[in-house]
Amino acid sequence: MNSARNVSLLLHAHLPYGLRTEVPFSLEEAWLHEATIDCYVPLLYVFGSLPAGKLPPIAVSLSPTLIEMWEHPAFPERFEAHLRRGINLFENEAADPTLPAPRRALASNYAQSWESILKDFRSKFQGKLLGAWTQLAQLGKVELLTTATTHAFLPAHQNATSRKLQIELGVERFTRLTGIEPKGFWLPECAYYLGLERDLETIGIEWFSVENMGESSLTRCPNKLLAISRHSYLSRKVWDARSGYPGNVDYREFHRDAIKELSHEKAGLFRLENGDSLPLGMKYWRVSGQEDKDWYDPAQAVEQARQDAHDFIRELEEEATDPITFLPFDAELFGHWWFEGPVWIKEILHLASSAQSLHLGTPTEILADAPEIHVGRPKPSTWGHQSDYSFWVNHETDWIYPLLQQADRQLAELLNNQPKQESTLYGRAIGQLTRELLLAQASDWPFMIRAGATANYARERIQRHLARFHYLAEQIAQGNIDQEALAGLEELDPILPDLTIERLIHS
Amino acid sequence: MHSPQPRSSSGNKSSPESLRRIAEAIDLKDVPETAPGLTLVPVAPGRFHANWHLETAIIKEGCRIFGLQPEETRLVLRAYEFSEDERIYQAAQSWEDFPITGLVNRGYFNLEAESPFIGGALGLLNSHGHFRPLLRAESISLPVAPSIAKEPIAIDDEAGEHQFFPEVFDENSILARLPVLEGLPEELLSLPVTLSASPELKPYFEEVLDEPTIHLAAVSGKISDPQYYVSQILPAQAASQIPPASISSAPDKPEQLSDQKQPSSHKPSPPGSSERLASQSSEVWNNMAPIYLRAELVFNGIVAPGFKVRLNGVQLGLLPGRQFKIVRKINQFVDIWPFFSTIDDQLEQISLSSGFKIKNNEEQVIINVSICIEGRINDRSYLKHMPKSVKIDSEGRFTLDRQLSDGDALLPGLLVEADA
Repeated sequence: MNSARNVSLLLHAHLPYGLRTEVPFSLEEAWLHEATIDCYVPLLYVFGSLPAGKLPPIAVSLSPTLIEMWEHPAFPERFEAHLRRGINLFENEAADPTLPAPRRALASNYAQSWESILKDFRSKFQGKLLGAWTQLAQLGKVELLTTATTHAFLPAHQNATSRKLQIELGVERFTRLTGIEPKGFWLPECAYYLGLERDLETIGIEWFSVENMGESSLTRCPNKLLAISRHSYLSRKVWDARSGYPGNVDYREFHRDAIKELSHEKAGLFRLENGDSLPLGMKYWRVSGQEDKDWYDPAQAVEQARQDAHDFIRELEEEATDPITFLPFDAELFGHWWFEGPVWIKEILHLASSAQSLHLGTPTEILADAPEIHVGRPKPSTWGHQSDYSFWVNHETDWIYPLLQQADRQLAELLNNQPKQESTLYGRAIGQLTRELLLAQASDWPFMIRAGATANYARERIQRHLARFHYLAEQIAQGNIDQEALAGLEELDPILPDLTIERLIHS
Repeated sequence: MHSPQPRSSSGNKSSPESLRRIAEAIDLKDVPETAPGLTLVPVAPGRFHANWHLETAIIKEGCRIFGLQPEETRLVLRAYEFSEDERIYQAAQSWEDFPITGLVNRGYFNLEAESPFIGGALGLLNSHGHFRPLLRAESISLPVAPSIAKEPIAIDDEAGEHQFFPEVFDENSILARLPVLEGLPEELLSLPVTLSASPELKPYFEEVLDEPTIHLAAVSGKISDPQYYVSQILPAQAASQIPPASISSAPDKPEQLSDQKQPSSHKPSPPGSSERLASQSSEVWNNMAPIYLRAELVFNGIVAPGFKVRLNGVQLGLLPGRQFKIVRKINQFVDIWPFFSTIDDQLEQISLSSGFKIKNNEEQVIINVSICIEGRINDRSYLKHMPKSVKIDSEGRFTLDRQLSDGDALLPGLLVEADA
């Protein structure tokens, strides 16, 4: 190990599965496109600009549900259509003489930026975002890893048959699509429980991420897996709502989207029947620090992001600790929530590469050289409020878990009691039923219910997947599987297309 | 013979209309209720959630086999505490019993010790302390507290700075804060032996207190008749040891349970922000009162197929499994204190015959109520008034949950009616 302090940044990219090709446009699809435009593509630009042939300075976790959406055959066409709709709206704004000049200028900027993304998506990325990320990994610019299959909150499924499916199937799918056998595993919500490391051992990883519980940043589990805990203070410098960088008055305001202010005719697909709007990202204002928002100034915001990067490097030089300072963040913070986040992270990568006292690397690289590490198990925790599980298990969400556990028991019974002469249809029905259960287990649903803003949507998603699960379970029990309905459900929820009943029995 | 192909590979994609039709036909189908069983879900250090579904026949058979009389028998959840991941309950280091109500119900339970693993069994406890398990749950790992207290994050402005257990015991400042305790309940005043020892508190005792609540209606237990207007059928059990908690102004829609406050510029949002939001669920505490309490009454219900539930005329949206949930906040100290102060006695209060009615399983609606109280003690002189079973953390916070019996809680305006 060199004498420089080891710092490891990790960005975890995740969205719940939600590409609905049966409708022209949907809330879930709007989220996907917005995050792709604001975050995933800008980050590809940032990491793509890194020199090749060196050790990757950063790790990126891509959730299986996110990559399933990127890999959906309909994604390229629908993403391009979204970009074109947005470009059209921005161009109309830019050409509207009744609008204030700053707004028109910003709209023109957005139109150009989206045009550039459209062009790159077609030519540079060839419609394959996962392929672009994989290429970055092959060039040594990032280290890729993944997480649980549908991002389940694993402590709530400790005794479930499907917990192993959550851990194993996502990694298998990731490896099949990228050719990469990940060395690390992102625990959804950093949620660890005692014994989880035994399941993680089966997927061949070396390390996983946990919350900081006031102990060493590294713990070697009895089965040799390494648990790495994040650095609390430095993490908070980035995401904290009050003291974190994204709250600076010069940064772009996240919450105000001008699409809501457009007429019904202008908003088009973005306007719902009930008058609500789907997000587009038509954001013209800066945080301002007041109700009456000022116009956004991109140059000033970029300059602020650079200043904040310098500040963070200074903090790193003072606060970074041995053997590793681990800083994981939601990837969506960079670009989606914090629009200038990609600029900040690019500057961090640049500054750190020339800082004598810092070494930026991935956990895999740094830990290969790690000194003697305390043996034990990390404390069960999450990165949620008070580090416990209460953000996901509480009075608002507790009704979810018995239903999921009941469905899990049904799945186990079906796998244990399969008929001797099963049919192809039977195997497909079991596979689809498993997909529905896994989708119902996403930690996003209790999270949304607890956070409040999209609680009804989350309840609908749980109802939808459980209803589909029980519909199939009933048909399997009756020995009367509706082939058309099954094919329809396979198209509606097309995750894990390679899943077979043999694989399920193996688990 | 196993399937050679994972899924339909015909390449014939369904039309969007066809997919929508399939989805519409399936997605609104009822999700079945949970089957009999007991499941545990971890929540926080020393805190877990349990969900159980007991059938009447199991209890009756249990009583018959063990020769138990319902009035002398309690239904309890026994939590077994393990230091290692164990499946054999005989290996438990210790256990705690929690009284429960309702055959199909759920609740939160706080352990005295923060064991890393717990298991659970739901069973019958007789008057001699003999426990007969009826259902068992698989063991779970619980979260543990951090080694060092974390810095408070994103405390809302209205909470202000707080100082827990100040080094100097400032009687004048306590006196200055006393008016905050308007409406102090009779039960707290009836502790003269301890309180009167603090002369600085005397002025407050001259306050005259009003009747704490007006009993409007009671909801708990089971309701068998459709078109059933709860307030007319189940009178409040005024004779109960615990006065019913009243809901004086039930809103049209169930309130959000969350007391989570996000800074106005960072409202909850769609996915991709879990760390940022989940980490910043801020706590807002009133640090002016010597003891600050807040509570939520949680009504968990299940409605039979063919029926719907209205609250103040508004139809409740059902959760999967035909469940519904109504949460009501209680902010008045006077309304919370009776539930809080008698928590130590709850095990003795709920017997099989009083805690809930054992009927057949043909009810159209089952509603069970619990109260979750959380609070913070700001003046240590008040520690002596805390119930013994309440565990206080290093920052003076405490949480307790209590299963309520029939008549302990009030919810007017609930209507169960058959589908047209």
